[in-house]
Amino acid sequence: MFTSLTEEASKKLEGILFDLLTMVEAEAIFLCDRGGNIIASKSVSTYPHEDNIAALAAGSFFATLEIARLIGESEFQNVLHQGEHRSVFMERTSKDMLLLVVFSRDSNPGLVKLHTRLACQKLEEFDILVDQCGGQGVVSKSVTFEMDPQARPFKSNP
Amino acid sequence: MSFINFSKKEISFKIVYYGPALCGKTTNVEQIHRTIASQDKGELTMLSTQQDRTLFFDFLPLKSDIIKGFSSKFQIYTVPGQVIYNETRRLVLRNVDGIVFVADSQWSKMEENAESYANLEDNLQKQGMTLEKLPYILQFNKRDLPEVAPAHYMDFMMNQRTMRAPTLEAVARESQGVMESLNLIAKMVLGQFIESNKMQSREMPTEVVTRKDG
Ligand SMILES: Nc1nc2c(ncn2[C@@H]2O[C@H](COP(=O)(O)OP(=O)(O)O)[C@@H](O)[C@H]2O)c(=O)[nH]1
Ligand SMILES: [Mg+2]
Repeated sequence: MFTSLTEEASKKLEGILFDLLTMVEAEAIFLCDRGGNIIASKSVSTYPHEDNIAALAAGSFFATLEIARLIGESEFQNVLHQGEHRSVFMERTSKDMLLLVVFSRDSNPGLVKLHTRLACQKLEEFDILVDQCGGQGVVSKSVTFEMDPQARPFKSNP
Repeated sequence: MSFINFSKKEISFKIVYYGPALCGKTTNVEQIHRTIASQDKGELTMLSTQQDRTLFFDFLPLKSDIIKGFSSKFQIYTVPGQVIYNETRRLVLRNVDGIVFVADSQWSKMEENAESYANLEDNLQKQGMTLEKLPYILQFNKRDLPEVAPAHYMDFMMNQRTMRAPTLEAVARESQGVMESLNLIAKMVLGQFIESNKMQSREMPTEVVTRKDG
């Protein structure tokens, strides 16, 4: 089973993220799925450890949803972690994905919240993603994937 | 569930190291991190309690160029083994593509191995998944210790499905069997991915995958 994202869809997603990035002057924005995969990302300069951030964010955010359930709340729509220099705002999109915004203290948290919400709505309108085809994901038939059956995926450092 | 990004020419897979507390899951991932060439690995994230036990999960992103024309990302996770952290295990299992079940070979741990294995089946089932459909291997770890069960005994106890899982012996602390396990599960995951994609292309001549109505 897999999900996939076409080039066209990818461009549109990145467009939405880019608009948000410039609007709130964020440092980085990630769209992640429940499993912690980065679906799309935009940042001002190259951002280190993207995968680690996405994995932790998805884990912690979906853990807070479980807290919500345990205290009798249906869900938390968003979470803000505020730091001295940098903060992280996470908002859930309708498709069970997560929009994560990293911003510095030069940005206004209220504005970040507002525009992130708006961006999430755009993502929803679009319904852009990603077919989950319950167990039978489909990729364009023109693409076949090949690997050398003898090769090892990972090599040890010499 | 693997994720293909055609614009980045990138495919992501999620591999989870599962097993009872202290069987050596974190050690496996630490050794992988130590062993793999630096251009193929990202940073190792470990979330541990003060007693050095995994609290949330460990995470290590890896990259391979084994599929032609694409970069294959493997996201490696461990789960916390302690019984009380079951919510976290479920969270980590979400969208998993392949599992390395690490069993502790000591006689005294056989019951914990069995419990953890049953817990894995249960958690998968709650997400509509099953080991029948998921690539997984059994790693019998800590073979260096004195009081260990013979591998064929562990195989007999833990490997009772019609589709038998491949098994490997390991001494994760000395890095024995660690890269072998990783490469084996990666190959199995890739193999299943390629096969299912071939099948789909035959059956459904669709161009898919983007919906944008509304
Ligand atoms: N003797 C021996 N000890 C091991 C081996 N692998 C791991 N350990 C030790 O077992 C303990 C628990 O390992 P850890 O990786 O934290 O277990 P986890 O709870 O599954 O993540 C640590 O003290 C490790 O050093 C092994 O192959 N042999
Ligand atoms: Mg651990």
